[in-house]
Amino acid sequence: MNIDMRPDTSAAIRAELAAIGTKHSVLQRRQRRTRLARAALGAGAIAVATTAAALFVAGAPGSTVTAALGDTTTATHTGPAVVDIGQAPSTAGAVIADITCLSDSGVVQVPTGDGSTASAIHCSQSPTGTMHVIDGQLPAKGSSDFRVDASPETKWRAALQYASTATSKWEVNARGQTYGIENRNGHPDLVPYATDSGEQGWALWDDAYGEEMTGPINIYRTDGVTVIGVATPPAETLPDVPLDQGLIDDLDSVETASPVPPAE
Amino acid sequence: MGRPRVGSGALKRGGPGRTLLSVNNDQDDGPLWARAQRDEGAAFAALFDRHRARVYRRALTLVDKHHDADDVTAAVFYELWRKRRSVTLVADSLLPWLLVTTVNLGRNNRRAAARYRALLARLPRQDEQVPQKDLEDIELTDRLRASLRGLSLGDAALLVLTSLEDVPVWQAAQSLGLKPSTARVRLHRIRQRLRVDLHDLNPSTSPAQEGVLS
Repeated sequence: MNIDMRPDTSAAIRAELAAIGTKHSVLQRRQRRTRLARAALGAGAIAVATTAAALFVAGAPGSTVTAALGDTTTATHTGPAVVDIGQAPSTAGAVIADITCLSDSGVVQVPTGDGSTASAIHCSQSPTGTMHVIDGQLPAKGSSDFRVDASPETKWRAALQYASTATSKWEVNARGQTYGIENRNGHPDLVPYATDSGEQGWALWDDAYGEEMTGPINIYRTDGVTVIGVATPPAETLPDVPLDQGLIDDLDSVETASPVPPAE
Repeated sequence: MGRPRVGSGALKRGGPGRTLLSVNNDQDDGPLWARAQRDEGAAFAALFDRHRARVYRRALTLVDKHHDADDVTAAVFYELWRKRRSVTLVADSLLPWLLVTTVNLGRNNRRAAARYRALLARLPRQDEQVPQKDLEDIELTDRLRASLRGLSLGDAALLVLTSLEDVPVWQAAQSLGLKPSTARVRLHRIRQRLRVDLHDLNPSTSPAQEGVLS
């Protein structure tokens, strides 16, 4: 008796593990994304401090300009649901989703990008109870269904609108390093990063996000050579979430609205 | 992909027709783990090859469907990466940590699936598999679940490690962050409270071994 997984299933898991440390790692992309979402949760208090950074990032190479198209569809549901947002205009590249928690607990989550990522709002933790997503996943071709995953008891309201998207190209410096901001194409070599004293510059992505707890890292100009200061990345990416929390688990569990096959 | 390498160490005879592998194997995970902690994908893949089958079989005793056992197994190894800064080796092995995590996630596989939803959705699999469990396994699963119901997470892991996985009490204690003496007391209380004995399902491990602290 030697029970084991199906070979193709285990091969798929193995491939994802083997991709760790490369740009193809979905695990790492997701963690980065979750970190951004967590950072946004605490954004209220530091909004003033980050305005300069936001201006710096806006219009940076690789940034995506989103323009709303057509009508807004509003829907209110409890638990997971599929919302009909009408057929996509031919120029649509994404869905803009404004999610509002109408419950005090649970999670509401929308698929983003190609569907391999998602943005979620934890209703019990969000100070505003709202989430603004500009890269919601387009419905599959021929479909007008936008999927919202949510905890079974969680009530939410969504305002959904198609958007056109235009993503600029990353710049390349004299050393051949790309710089700009992370987008659906992955990440450039250098990404915006503020020094510990608050000056905006650029960090090597590998230094800033490739591995954690590396200590202070150099912040450069776009040439990737001139050091303007150092930054100390946060030591921990995410607090360790207890694995078993009884009731909270059930409240926060996310159910999928419909078995939409992931886009390839 | 070659055959999975599962604990080449001490082989123990378990119940009828059952061969159990001890955690006390001679495969030192230390070197691979050091590479994995530097985000080397190949090292994670090698650790997956080494421990997958053991994790998967444990998951199967905790959930109903092969599908769910796939999810739990994947989530255990994704958690290994996510928690790479805090995972500790016990007796040079990752297996105790992996098994504790398997028990945790197996008891709540909805949570396991939630965190890695997008990744798990991509796993190739059949819609519904014919259950391959034999009667003995079905009995084990049912009795194990009945035993674990109502136990705290730490107690459940302690019970599984010591009663079914041949892990010496001191190693189980270390992987759960307990003193060996505390673990022994808790095990005693668990068994009194449960009034069930899983030992007949794995006679070789009765009573839970103390191991040797050297």
